Amino acid sequence: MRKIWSIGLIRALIFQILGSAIGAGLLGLIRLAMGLSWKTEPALVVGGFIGAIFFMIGIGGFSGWWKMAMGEDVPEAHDVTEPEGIRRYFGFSLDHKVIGIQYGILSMVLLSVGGSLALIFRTELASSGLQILDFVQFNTLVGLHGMVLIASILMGVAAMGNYVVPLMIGAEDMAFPRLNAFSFWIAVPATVLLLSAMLFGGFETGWTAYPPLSVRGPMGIQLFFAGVYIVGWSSILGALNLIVTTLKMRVKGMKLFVMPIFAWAVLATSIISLTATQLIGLSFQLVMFERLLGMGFFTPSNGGNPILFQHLFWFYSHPAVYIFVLPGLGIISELLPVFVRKPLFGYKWVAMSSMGIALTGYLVWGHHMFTSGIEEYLRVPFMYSTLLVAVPTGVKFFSWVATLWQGKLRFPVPMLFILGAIIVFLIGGLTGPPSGTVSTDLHLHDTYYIVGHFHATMFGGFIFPIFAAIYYWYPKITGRKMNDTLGKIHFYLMTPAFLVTSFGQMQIGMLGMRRRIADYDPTLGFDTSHLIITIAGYLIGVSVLIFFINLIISAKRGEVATGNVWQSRSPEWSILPSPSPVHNYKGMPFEVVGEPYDYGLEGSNYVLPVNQTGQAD
Amino acid sequence: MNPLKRGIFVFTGLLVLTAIEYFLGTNQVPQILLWVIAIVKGLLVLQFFMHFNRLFDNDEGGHE
Amino acid sequence: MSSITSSAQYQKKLAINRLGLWLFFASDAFMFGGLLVARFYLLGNRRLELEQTLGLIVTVVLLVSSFFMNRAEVMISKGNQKGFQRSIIVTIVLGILFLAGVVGVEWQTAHFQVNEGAQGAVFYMMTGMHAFHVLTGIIFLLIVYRNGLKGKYTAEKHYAVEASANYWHFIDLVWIIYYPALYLMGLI
Repeated sequence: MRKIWSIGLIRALIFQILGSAIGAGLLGLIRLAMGLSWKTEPALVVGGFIGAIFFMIGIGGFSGWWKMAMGEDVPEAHDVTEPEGIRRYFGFSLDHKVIGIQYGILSMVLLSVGGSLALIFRTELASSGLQILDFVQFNTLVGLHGMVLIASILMGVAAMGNYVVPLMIGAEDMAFPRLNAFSFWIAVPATVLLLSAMLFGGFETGWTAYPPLSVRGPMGIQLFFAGVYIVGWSSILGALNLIVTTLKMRVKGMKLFVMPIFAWAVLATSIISLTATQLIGLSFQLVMFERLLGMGFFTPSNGGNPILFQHLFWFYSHPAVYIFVLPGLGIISELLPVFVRKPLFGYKWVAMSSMGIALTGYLVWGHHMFTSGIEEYLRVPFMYSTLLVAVPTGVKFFSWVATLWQGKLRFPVPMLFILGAIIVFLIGGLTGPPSGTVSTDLHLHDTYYIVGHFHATMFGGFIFPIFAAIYYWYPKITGRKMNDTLGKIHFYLMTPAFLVTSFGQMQIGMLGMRRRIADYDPTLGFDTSHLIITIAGYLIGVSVLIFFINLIISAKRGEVATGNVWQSRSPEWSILPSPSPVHNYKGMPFEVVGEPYDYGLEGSNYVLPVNQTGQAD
Repeated sequence: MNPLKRGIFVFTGLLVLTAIEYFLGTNQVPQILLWVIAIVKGLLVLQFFMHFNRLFDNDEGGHE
Repeated sequence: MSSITSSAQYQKKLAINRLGLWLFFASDAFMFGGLLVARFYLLGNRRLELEQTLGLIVTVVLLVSSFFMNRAEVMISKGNQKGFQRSIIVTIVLGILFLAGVVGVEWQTAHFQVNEGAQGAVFYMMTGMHAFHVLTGIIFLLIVYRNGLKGKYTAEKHYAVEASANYWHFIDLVWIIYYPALYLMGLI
């Protein structure tokens, strides 16, 4: 019993359940004292938030800050001794590498949950008529599929940022280790809240939670809001940490424009998630309060305006897709030169294109609202700003193609996924302008075409790159390589299966299949297409299952790989042994002496250990 | 300037601006004037109370 | 090794902490900005039916508290512990007065309820979110005051005071924008 109690995660989950009960009970008592009767919905909200706070108390997330507030001395993060072995990963660890892996595990768990939800409603869609789900269940699954995978992607982005960025820039840890651990662990109770929306009636709105439907529907939406709100804070605090780390903790000699390109991508991403995330939190908070207190934000009969919600919501949720894809595109630019053995073409332009996408991303949200009744005069400006995003994205594509040109290509598994990512993201990118142009969007809006487009960008911009990243950095984490054969099966199964789903969705979308509906008219003739899409969807599921098996067995039985496996110039490979030691570069100081991507240039170095500088010149 | 004295000056400025703002607001002048005053007040606070410039202080702290 | 000893390390840490705090302000400003947008989107050029005198009083109270906060920070940077403690306690009292003015008086005497139209929604949400920040600010100040009594801060090392002061001024900054937006802008 004691042994179980000492595992942070379990202790914290028990705390969360207790906290939720206490919060709900207290609210009930207060209402009773005020002469009001029991109401489940406010109790759910209050219980949800108090439960999350209790979770953090249980995991120990507040103990350091509490001591600081009480005026006690708190040791610096690198002086805290932490338990050895696997238990570390289930508790409040301050090491950025542990936190990175924790993020990664949570991301993969959410990926499989979100993917499984999709398989359930894909099964429903495989033929017309209702087979296994009713309408509310279908809507709940679709909404949760969206939001759970958004959470998964945010966690995956944070995983890469946390694990890799401090190693790349030669920092001993993140700028704020306690905040870093806090922002990971707060995402766990948030996930629990998000998923528990299913238990409390579900919700009907899809992941966008548009009022007035979200103001009226079942109360599962409140837990959905609470979960997203807290995940949002996790993302904001994580982004804050990454920005400060990249700006202030770089090793000697590493100017901004000789940072590894992935650090640029993470910086750009973090700027968006730091600021824009507040707006989705706010929009959901307003609906939450509208439901609880009857505030008239979004109900026209009470002075409100539902379009306001869409403005606030999309101000985050459009830039959010750049949060999702920018790190993935950064991974592509980072790994491509390693496997092509050529300098990255136009480093500065690629770095600036990440910033360019981030900044133009703020100006384009209105293209989600062309058909929802926004002011007519806003449509064309938003169309132009939307198409403008293609320019910095095009810069990246030109850079990749020019990098590939006449390179000495190698094709290990990470490179396969990189190439897959480029192709799939190209498909996703090219299908974008028709949806961003007002005249065509009026026809394509809310059809499966948009679903196909969106999934292509997400797979090309996140799923493929993160698999590449995991295959690539796995030896750095475990000291072993992942199995090559299984990796290739994973790739060659997932890529065609994905292309089939994506093209299939676009095809039926153009023919008029509406999105977010559980049933369709059999006379439309979509049954076969839907069946094929569903089968392909299951194949993606199988391929990811193979990946998980590979992930687990390679940790014990994989080929030992301790050195610079991929012959990379980046410091985490060329200086650091694998698996990476606890205190990063302690005892191995280095400095930056050259350009990051001058592969194939005789005698050039990016980083050198400090005591050897001078000899190498 | 003595920082205590500067604080008093800034505070007086903010008070005066608030008074003007109140006067203008109750007389229903064009909104833009109120925005200008609010932004001036905000800049005063950012510069003199929140020390925005300190953000760009040299963080090498003497060494080198 | 165990704690930050050298001044260079402290300076580095200080710069990191400052940047982190300012990024938090930037993030929070977007939330407050979103509410401001909601106010103008829903009410446009319509002014809220609020008590002008009361609004002016709470505004001045918050402004004076900001002045004393600044004083407290200047005092500690000169090593004047007594003056620092006095100023910070005045700040806290004024902060509580502000809260009492907004939540205790204004909310109770307003001409409209929470659920009465866009006006009620906008007014209670904007002042409510701001009041929530004031409350957290007061808590930070109380912590700083308690640690100040223990003599934790010196003229050289008092980042906690600087941070809580900055946070307090940030709250003031928000009110500087919110006050005209809620009370003075638009037509009656």
